[in-house]
Amino acid sequence: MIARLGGLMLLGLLGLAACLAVAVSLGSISINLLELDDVTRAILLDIRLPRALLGACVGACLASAGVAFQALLRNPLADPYVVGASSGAALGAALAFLLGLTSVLPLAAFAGAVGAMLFIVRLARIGGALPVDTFLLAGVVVGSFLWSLVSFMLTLARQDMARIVFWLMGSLADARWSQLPLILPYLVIGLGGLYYGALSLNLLTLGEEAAIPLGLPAERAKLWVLLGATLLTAAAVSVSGLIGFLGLIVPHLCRGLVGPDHRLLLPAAALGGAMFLVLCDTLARSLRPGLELPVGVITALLGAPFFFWLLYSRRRLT
Amino acid sequence: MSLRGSDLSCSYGSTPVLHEVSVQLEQGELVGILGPNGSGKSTLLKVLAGVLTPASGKVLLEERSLSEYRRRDLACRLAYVPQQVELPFPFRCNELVMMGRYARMLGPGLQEGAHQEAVRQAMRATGVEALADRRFSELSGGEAQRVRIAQALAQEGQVMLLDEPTSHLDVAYQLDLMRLLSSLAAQGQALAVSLHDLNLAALFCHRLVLLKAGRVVACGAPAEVLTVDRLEQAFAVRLEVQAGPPVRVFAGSQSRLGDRRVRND
Repeated sequence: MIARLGGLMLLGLLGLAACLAVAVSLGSISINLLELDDVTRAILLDIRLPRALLGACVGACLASAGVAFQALLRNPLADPYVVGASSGAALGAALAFLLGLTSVLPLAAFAGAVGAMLFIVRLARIGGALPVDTFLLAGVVVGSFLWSLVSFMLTLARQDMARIVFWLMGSLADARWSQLPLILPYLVIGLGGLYYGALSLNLLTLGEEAAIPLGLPAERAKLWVLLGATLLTAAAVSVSGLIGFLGLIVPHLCRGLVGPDHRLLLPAAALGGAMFLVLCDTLARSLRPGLELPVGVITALLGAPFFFWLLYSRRRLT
Repeated sequence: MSLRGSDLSCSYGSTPVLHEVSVQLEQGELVGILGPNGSGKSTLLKVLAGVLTPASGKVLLEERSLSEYRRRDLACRLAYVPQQVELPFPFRCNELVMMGRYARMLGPGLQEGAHQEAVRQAMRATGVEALADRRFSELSGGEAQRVRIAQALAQEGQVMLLDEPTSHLDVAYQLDLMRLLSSLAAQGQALAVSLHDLNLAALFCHRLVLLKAGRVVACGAPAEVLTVDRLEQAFAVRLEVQAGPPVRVFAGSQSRLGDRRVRND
């Protein structure tokens, strides 16, 4: 296991380094990394590098949160937004725009995501237990309620509408060095925590009736997994808006590559998600010079067809 | 190692499913739990396994109540194989059996070396070594049951509870599985297994518990439990019984359906 993990990490980190190199080289002007002058060095260090690193962190957060949600809900079609985190973040962000508090936008989105999740857990808990089905249902119901609030606010705030919608689509355009500390601690703590419980994630996929007799304190494990996945999602959303589909696709692709054991799957998905988002963002800002696409549009453009393929191939299997 | 449930009562909502059931399971014993559909066999096993908490009554493992054990400590002593397991993700058989070692692993369990021998042994004991690298979802029903029993064996406990392990298996696999279970009993395990096949139970089990509507109708050696009257009492059908050993039960030309109306008793 250690040898396989080591090999995976080595390959993944090399791949990520290559993706970062590509990302900082390409853009409105191409930069040769070996021949830097003052201007290109400034572009590289002040604009492109923080953006690429932030993209890597966001991608890692979303993909590992996706892995955790899929294990928790025992459903390969789950993603970080399936239960309320996205709608809560959207509500927080919309409120911040509406009240003119854009400086605390990340905090508002983070609080919205975490708050929505806490509310849903509270709602779905029955006598100290959190049945997964009830949780999913409560999440969907609360989610649609919050989304309707967001729509309501959008109609109120016509002048801010474009900015809110743009934020909802997910973008890394505002990336600055100062945003990295907003996400990095959560990535380290959330991913580290989930990794420490990787065996518990494996057991959760069996279902509680099989997992509990193997020694898993299921209720406690579910809450820890939920906490970790929520922090990862909220941190990602707070700096980049709602970047969709990545949290669904990347866990799948990685499961195909390294198998379903979370001791390999979590690091593979984190690295894969980082690479995927760095490349998608490079595409988003260099597809048409001068016009920047929200990276959420790129990931969804790639993600939606993948989702259909997934549904299709699953139907063929069963 | 003995497992003792006394005066167990349990209900789902307002529907009672177990009513003051007492059972005992000793080392080296294979106990069959019989009864019609909905008689509480699965619920009884879940309560004995500690997956379900009874509304009243107690389950004692080595004279200590199950609720006093930490989940991990319990898993090192007692294994429970549910009727079905659905895997949404493509785990391989050796990975699945390795999960039986969860209670003995720390954190992400990267040091697997110490556990590989136990996994190999469990797979050898159930004859599934050759399936180690196969995906669990690709196995036949009989192979899958053996892999799940290997997982339970990897827990290295002394008590194993299995919920209808022979359902959905063909007759050869059923015999095969029961032979495996009796060999485990011969090695000192205490096993309780719920069954639908009365003859299989008579052939392999040392003791039987016959349930009806959450109550024990009869309990004892197969010859004491499998009598025409008791079976009629439980299943509401008159069957023919041939004295053993082994006792044989069959629906002959004389069999007739009793009064199957649901009675509230």
